[in-house]
Amino acid sequence: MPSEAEHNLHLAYAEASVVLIESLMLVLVERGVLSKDQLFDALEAAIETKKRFVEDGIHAELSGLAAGTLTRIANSIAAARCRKGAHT
Amino acid sequence: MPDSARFALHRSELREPLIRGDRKLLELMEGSEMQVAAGTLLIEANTEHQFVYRMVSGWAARSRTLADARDQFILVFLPGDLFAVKSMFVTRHPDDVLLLSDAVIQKIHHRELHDIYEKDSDVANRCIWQVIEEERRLHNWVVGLGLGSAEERLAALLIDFHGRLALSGSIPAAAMKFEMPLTQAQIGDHLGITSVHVNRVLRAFREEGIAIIRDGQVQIGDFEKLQRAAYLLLDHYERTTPEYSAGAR
Repeated sequence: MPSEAEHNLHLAYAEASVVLIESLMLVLVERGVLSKDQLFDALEAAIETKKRFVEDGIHAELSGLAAGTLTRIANSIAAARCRKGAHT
Repeated sequence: MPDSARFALHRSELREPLIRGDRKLLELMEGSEMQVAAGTLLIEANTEHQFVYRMVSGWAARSRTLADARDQFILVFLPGDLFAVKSMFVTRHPDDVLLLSDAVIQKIHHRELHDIYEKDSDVANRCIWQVIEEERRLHNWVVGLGLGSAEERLAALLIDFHGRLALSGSIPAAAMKFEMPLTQAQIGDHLGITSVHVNRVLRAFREEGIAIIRDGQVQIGDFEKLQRAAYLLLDHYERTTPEYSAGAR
């Protein structure tokens, strides 16, 4: 079992990763590099995967929370401002 | 102090009954004031609740938390608002009511209020009015969540707060600065976006000179730009009432 300090460090890494990826997604959408639809495809695949984990009982509680977090990110991306002329 | 939108779009013949009803409610609730600390869960979702409240000072929010820990702020209550009026009619509230700042609130037992509601049409009008006003705000918010960008939602929210705080007498109508005790995460919970996204929108507002939100305070830099950003999401009342735009020059 990891120590509490190690555990917290892993949580911090996980949190930082999600924040960084979401931040990158927003930059990519705002600059028109990727369309929202392309990001939704990626997010929906991730959400589906985590929901499947819940159904299969694999880290079910954590997977449910992760699916919720990803859904929140998808909704947030939907409200992002696109570069003029970029695909939505 | 009337509701925080001062009876938006009311029929003129209802003005006097609404003001009388408001005064009668003030008298009924007099002496019930209580201080409540920020972070207090005043009403817990899905529990029985006996009271109807009026916000004297401070901020509160109705919110719902999903089983996977996602939160949505549904309504924000400001000084002058009656809230939890539904206690008169339903045994359970489906949502939490959380104090966002230290607050002074008044309360009345649902049975006492309902007795008077049945006998006094002024009080009944005032209570029903609060439900109508909440519906107006909720309709606006549904449009914002369904159609608005993150920037439009934040701009509309700031204009809503400014207008209601001005109408309730909490700030001068021309104020360019007001306290807003929501954290960045809570702003996200209200706007339906993540904290990361809130941060980007706040930065954009700051860089464009529209507004700065920091340390629980909103400093509006350019009210006209703020209005332009929010315009499509504002309803007729918000577009035409000076307190929602008095800062614009």
